[in-house]
Amino acid sequence: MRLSPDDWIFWEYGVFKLNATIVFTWLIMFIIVLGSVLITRNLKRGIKISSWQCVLEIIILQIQKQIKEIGMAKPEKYLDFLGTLFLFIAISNLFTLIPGYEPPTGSLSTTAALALTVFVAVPVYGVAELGFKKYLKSYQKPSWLMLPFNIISELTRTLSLAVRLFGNMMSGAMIVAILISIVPFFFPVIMEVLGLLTGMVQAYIFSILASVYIAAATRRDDI
Amino acid sequence: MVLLLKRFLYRPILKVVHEREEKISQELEKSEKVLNDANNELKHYQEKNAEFEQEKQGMLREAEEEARKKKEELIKLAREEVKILSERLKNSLAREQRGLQVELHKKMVREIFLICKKLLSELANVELEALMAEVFLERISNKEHQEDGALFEGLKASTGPIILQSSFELPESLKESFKEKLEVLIGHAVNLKFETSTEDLSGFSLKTHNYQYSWNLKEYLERWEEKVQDTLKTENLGGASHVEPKDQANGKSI
Repeated sequence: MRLSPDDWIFWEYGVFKLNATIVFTWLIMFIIVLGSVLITRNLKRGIKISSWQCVLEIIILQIQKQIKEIGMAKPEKYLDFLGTLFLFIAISNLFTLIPGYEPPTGSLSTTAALALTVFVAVPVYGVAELGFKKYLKSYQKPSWLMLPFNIISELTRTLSLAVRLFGNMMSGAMIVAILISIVPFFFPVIMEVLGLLTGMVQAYIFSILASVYIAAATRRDDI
Repeated sequence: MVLLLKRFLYRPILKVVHEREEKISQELEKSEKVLNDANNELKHYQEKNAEFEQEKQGMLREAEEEARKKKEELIKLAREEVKILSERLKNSLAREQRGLQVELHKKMVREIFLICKKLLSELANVELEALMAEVFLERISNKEHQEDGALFEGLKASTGPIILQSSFELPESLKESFKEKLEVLIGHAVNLKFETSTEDLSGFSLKTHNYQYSWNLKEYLERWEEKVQDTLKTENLGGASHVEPKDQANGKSI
């Protein structure tokens, strides 16, 4: 039993390792990009559209709507990053239905990488929206005494993002594995479905939290 | 991956959605415009309908007025025509009545003449025509009957022939007697011609080109007719008390 897909190594050369996390991550990225290319190749502008286009439009517009509801005035600016996060995590978790597949989100390195992108994206969007000085001043709010706490908060929330996703996905995979060894029929199916739900919820939570962090960084108090 | 998805997923999808929204918005605007146009058209046609209705009412009123005038005119014309026709009918009846009267008159004269002739023939064995001729001869000869010499002057002034018209054919002896009498009266020879005509109603007429002297039953008959007319008028004036004869058995008028 593997705790993480990092332990499933396909190829190794010295310090270079090609484990399941890297393979499945690239595979998912390839599938998402290829799927997007294929679906958007023949987009229809009329009232009658294909089912795939309809599903994709619903997902994209819902993500945009969620971003807007969080408080960002121009959701299309943040859709690329936040939508990609959600789609990657959601599809990673969705593919657990395929036997032999292990979600990359079950690896701490993947979740840490995703959390790090959020960690980087927050100041980037903040500076772009408010300007460098104003963004840095936001760390002194409500008073300069809060500066160290704000910095610690930046770090800890990144950590919490990474650990939350990893913990949930890893535990889900572990529970299923344990249950399969104890009760090989029926019960693991229920847990698999539950795991699927957990995966979707985690994708939602991760992207929503990222949206909240970015929204907090880009908020203009003078407005 | 973010860049790839932006290029291949978000941008195309959002573009399509945006275009569709615009298209729908344009369609909505267009449909709203069409609706507004339709409403304006409806309003316009409603106004036109109202105008047409007013015009219709006006035309109806005019037509009614015209029809009323025409009706009055036609009634007036019809009344006038009825009046004319009635007048014509009255005239026609009057003419017919006059014709009947003349006819009756003639018949009566003829009958009276025949009765008198028969009576004289049976009672006195005398010819009425001969007596009448004698009376007319006497009247010509007798100055009392010559209307203050008018007969004499009339016959004397005559340049053409003198015509003696009688209701019956005169015998030659009487013709000679008449000729002699007239020659004595005028004092020279006369061109006397004899004619027979029933118009004179049993009598004689002596005619020149501008004078006529007659003696016949017509005068007597006219006097008798006048008396009859007077009597009828008197009876009509007091006609309120006139009672129709009734069948006493069942009380019906007969």
